[in-house]
Amino acid sequence: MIWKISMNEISMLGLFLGSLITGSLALLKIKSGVMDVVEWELFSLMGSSIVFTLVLDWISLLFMSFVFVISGSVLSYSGSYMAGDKTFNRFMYLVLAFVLSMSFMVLSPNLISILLGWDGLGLVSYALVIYYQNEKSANAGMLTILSNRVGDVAILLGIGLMSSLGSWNFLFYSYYMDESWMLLKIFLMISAMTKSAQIPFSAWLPAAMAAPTPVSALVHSSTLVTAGVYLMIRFSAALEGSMIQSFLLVISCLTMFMAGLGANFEYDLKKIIALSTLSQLGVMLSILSLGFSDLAFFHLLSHALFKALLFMCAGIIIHSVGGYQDIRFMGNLVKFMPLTVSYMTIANLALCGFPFMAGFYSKDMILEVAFMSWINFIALLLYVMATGLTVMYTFRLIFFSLTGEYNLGSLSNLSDEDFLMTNSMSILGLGAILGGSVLSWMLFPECYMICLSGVMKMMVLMVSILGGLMGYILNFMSVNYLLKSIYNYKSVVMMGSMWFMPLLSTLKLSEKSLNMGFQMEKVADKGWFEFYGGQGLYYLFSQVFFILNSLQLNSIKVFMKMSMVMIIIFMILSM
Amino acid sequence: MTFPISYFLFFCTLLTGTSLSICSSSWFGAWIGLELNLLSFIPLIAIKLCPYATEAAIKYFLIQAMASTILIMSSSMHMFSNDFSYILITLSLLLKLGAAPLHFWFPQVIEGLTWPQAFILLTIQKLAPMFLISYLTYSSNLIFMITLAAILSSLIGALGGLNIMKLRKLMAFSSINHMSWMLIAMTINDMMWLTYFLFYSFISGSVIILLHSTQTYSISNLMNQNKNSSILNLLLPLNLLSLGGLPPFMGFSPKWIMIQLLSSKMMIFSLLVILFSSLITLYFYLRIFIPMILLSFPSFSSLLKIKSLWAFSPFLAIFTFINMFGLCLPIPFSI
Repeated sequence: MIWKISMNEISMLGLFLGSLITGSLALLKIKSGVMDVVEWELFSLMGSSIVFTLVLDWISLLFMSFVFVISGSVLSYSGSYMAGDKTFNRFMYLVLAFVLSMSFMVLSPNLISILLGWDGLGLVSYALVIYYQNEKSANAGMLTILSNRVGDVAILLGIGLMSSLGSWNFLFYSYYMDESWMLLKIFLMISAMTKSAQIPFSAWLPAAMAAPTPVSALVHSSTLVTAGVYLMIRFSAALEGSMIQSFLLVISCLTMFMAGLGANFEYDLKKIIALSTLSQLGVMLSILSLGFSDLAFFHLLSHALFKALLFMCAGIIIHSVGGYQDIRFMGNLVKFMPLTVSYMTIANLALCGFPFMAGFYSKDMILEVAFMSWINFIALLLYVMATGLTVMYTFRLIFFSLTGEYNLGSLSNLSDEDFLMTNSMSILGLGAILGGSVLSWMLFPECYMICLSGVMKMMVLMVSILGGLMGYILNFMSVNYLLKSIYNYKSVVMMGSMWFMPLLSTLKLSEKSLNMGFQMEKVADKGWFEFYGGQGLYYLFSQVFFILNSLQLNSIKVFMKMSMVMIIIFMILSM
Repeated sequence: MTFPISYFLFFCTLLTGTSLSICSSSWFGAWIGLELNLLSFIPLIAIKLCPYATEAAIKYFLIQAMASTILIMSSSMHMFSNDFSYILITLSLLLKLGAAPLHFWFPQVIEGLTWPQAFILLTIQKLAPMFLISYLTYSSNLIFMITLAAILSSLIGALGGLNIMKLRKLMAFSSINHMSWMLIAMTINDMMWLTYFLFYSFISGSVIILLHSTQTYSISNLMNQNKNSSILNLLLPLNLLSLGGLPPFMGFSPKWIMIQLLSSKMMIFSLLVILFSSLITLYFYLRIFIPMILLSFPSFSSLLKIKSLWAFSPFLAIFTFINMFGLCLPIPFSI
């Protein structure tokens, strides 16, 4: 008897069960306000104890629950998306390994034991990015893993710094870290910035879209990239009132703006969504650096729901249009796949913060709280513009893919009828509609008091409507239109390529060292070092050896005389 | 191994001479001990009546007699010139030892010996002059001289053995190189050089047992032999690397102690010279066994050959074991 084991169904069931358990535990924790900490001491070294910490409070449990529900949906979804793949089981194991390392990362906010999950995330995401074996994936994977490696090294350095405290539980120590711990804060900020792809390290996130789409849905939109935000949330007590806050605010606002701008010039469906993820990460980190870590966590959760959904819809579209990712090849999909397109629109509207969808509760609150707090003009401007740009690229995406002309090839097979995929989106679809309101009722029993002037209150709405209109109308095209982007070619290239960041972090970074290495090998290793190093020394030593050896080729009489001479020389020397 | 009973007698008198000179309270007593030592070593060399052994015996006798003459002469000069006589005594002892500028006879003599005799020459014969020199490290003049001899022997030991194909000569140069460490140690601490000496005799003993058991006298012998004993391919490199002082083996531990001692005494220059020259000696140890390893067949006949080699020398097993794990020796004491 042969058992037909379908890994995707089993994993989905298990993960949903896990999500149910952790979710209900999280509810209990919210109600009681208790935090359970389990510390397993591995060994103690010179008064510092190396422990494996498990922190079970509502934050970690709720996050776990969301990770499980998203990964459950994604695994079930990939049962159809990856069907027929030669190494389907390997894919499943990799995604499960990702979930495992994500849980390690979430559950143990101890600088040493977080490394297990943190490095695991980097490794598994590398393995998933290079899942399709081609050159583009290999390059993207290398960029991903090396960018993340910078953050790992920062954490390792942080471990070195914290060893003077005797414990690495930054969750508890962060309350007592004053300005003298600046270096540690910088290290942790750098590691969070690499994982969450903030500005100098942004290039890897769009590149990582070389991974299969379910992976993008789970790893590169909702969970892995929020690991940096999660780290900062856990560490937020130490950020209060330090210089790090203002630095992180500027960086995250810039990322938000840069990604929103870049998405408006992008034609790759997955890259647009990746850039919108980047922009939302900027939103989370910016509100966190203003001191509202609970709002950041709120947005993290609701964003995870609708962004995973968005990616899954994109996956179905890519799957059905025959592997194209270019949105110019889509169009009028609403006629052929209404269910998918509805989900996609829900997710898109949630992303824009359409009233009463998931994103509205978190994003609108974040923006209003940000407008209310002490931020500088630049940050305010970036916030406003990024909000408008978000709506703009969303409507541009809707225009290109969902409405308009039918642009596909003459032979295409568009349908909604892959129920494995559409069904697995339903929970997330529900989440994208209801998630925000439910979470806000759950997490914030007391409302935030928002007090803004009329203009500022209406600002977000106005900017969004403006952005939406521009996004839709600017993309109408006709034969006799001038190509404005050709006239402004330089600025278009800059804005469309994430401000040259992919170029700067790959070619420009390695060019110099590779050239140096080449020159070094030519001049030194095969040149001077060989001439004066190995060969030269050997030649010199051999010369000395021949002299010494010729001294040996004498009779004993000569030896006795030489000894006498040596003795006399020594006498003279020492006299 | 069979040997005449007189061998045993002369060996006993050799040891007696050594201990006599170490324990004597006057230079005259020391001289008597050294003479006894010399005169009992000569028959040990010439026990086989072949021309090479006789030649070596004669050479050894001439040089040692000259050194003894200088020793007894300078010790009687002690009455009128204290400094002068001690410097001369030190030089004569260095000549007996075969330390660097006075080393010329040493490779020549060892070339005529069999491996056991060479072992005696490399270790026991060094003991008495070494001890006597270690009594003489009280004035800065003498210390300067000993340090100079040490530095020179390290350089000559390393460079002189560079292209040598004969294994006995090679061992002689390696011994000259190792002697430099002992001489330097002597200027610092009386205990240290003895420790180094013990380690050195142990390791060189393990190498010499191996070479004696295969009757190898040159590198080409070694390469022709490799076919029939692949256990030798394993053991000889290990013991030689230990002799060269590569870290996981025991040979590193005396060097380690010395490096720490010298750097704590700020004797950086001599440390540098000695360390660099030890590196060069490592080159010629490597040159002994690299071709042997590379040219050996990947055959698994080791099980057959272990027995014969082991049966020949039970010491080999013990020595090799200690060579491998000797670096762990201080661990029980440090906990």
